[in-house]
Amino acid sequence: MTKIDDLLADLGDAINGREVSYNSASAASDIYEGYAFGLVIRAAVAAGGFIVYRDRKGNAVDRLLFRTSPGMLYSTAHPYTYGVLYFPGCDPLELHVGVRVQGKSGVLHECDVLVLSMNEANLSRSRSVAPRGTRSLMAIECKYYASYLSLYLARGFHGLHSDLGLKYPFFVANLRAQRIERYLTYHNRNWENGVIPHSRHAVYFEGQVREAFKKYQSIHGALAP
Amino acid sequence: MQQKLRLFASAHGMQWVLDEVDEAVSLGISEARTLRQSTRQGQITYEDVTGLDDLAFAKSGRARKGTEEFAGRRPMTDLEQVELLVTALRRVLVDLDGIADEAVSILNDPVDREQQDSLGHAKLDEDIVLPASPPVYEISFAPDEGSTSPPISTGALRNPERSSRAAELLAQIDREIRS
Repeated sequence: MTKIDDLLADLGDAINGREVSYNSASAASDIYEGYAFGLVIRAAVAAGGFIVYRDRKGNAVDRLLFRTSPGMLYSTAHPYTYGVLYFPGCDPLELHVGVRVQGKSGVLHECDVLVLSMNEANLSRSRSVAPRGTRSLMAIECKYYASYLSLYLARGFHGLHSDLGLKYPFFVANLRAQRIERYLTYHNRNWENGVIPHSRHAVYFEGQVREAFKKYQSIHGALAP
Repeated sequence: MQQKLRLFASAHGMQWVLDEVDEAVSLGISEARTLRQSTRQGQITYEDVTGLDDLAFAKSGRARKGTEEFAGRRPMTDLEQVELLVTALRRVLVDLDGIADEAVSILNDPVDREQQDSLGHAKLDEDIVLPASPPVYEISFAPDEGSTSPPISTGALRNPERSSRAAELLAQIDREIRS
């Protein structure tokens, strides 16, 4: 046995206590979407908002439940959680994780984190239709990868938001990737890579989201007398 | 060394990590080259001036004019490939736990207490009063209709002791591969 063999054996012992399987990338993506959801909420609060968490029946919850892969906002399979965001003088917004949204072409797309008006969300729930991208405010495309971000992720994001047409689309990833940053910048898309806990990039991303919420309030909030 | 790490990853269900690493290895490392075009005896030639700064140009008596950036790639060395694999393992076995922990912490952090009165209500406007949100303990993920992806929860990942042990071992492995 070499030292590496011993270290790998010890590492195996250390991680065997983990109650979650590593056999798919989907678990990593799910957790990262939950993290991005939190960053959006923190930015919203920094912009003067107030958040409450609700399930489909409107009950307040302290254990949040999101989808493992994108589904319909009106789904009743589980009491999925969403955030209700209040800004003074503005109509309430809702925050959802992993929902499908209708593009301008009529095609359904997936949004990892979506912010839309409560009116549009209510329409989706009451009529069992996907919310419209053009009536949504913000979407976050979240990418958690172990070693490498492929350029097709950026191409997909650019194409997706050409069709969705919502006001504030953001691309966030845990890794830096210069060619992705160059591609998205060239196409005038908002991005922040290297977004992980305690990184300055997480702070920059929150700043971008806060700016979007500020603009939303300045346009939709009641004017002072 | 690389083979041992790959066997470990594969044995612990991380084939998807190996696939990602393999894709990165197949693409190699991006490299920008700066070439300067000039004409000699009617022939167009390109000189590699990568890394030369303005001072170096001035000293050499050549002009920066006519230089252009080109994108290229080079293969990864064996060491770079092993380092990439160890880093990828760390992102899955250590960093992800930290992200799960932070995801829950953030949700309890942003409540601005100044926006709430002493009764635990939020005051947005004069006539709108909301109940304060209860603390969030956990985030779970469950498959929607038609989905087969496995359920997961932040509670299963949030274990600082386990994470720090895994981080320590991966750091030792990192040192071994460099020695």
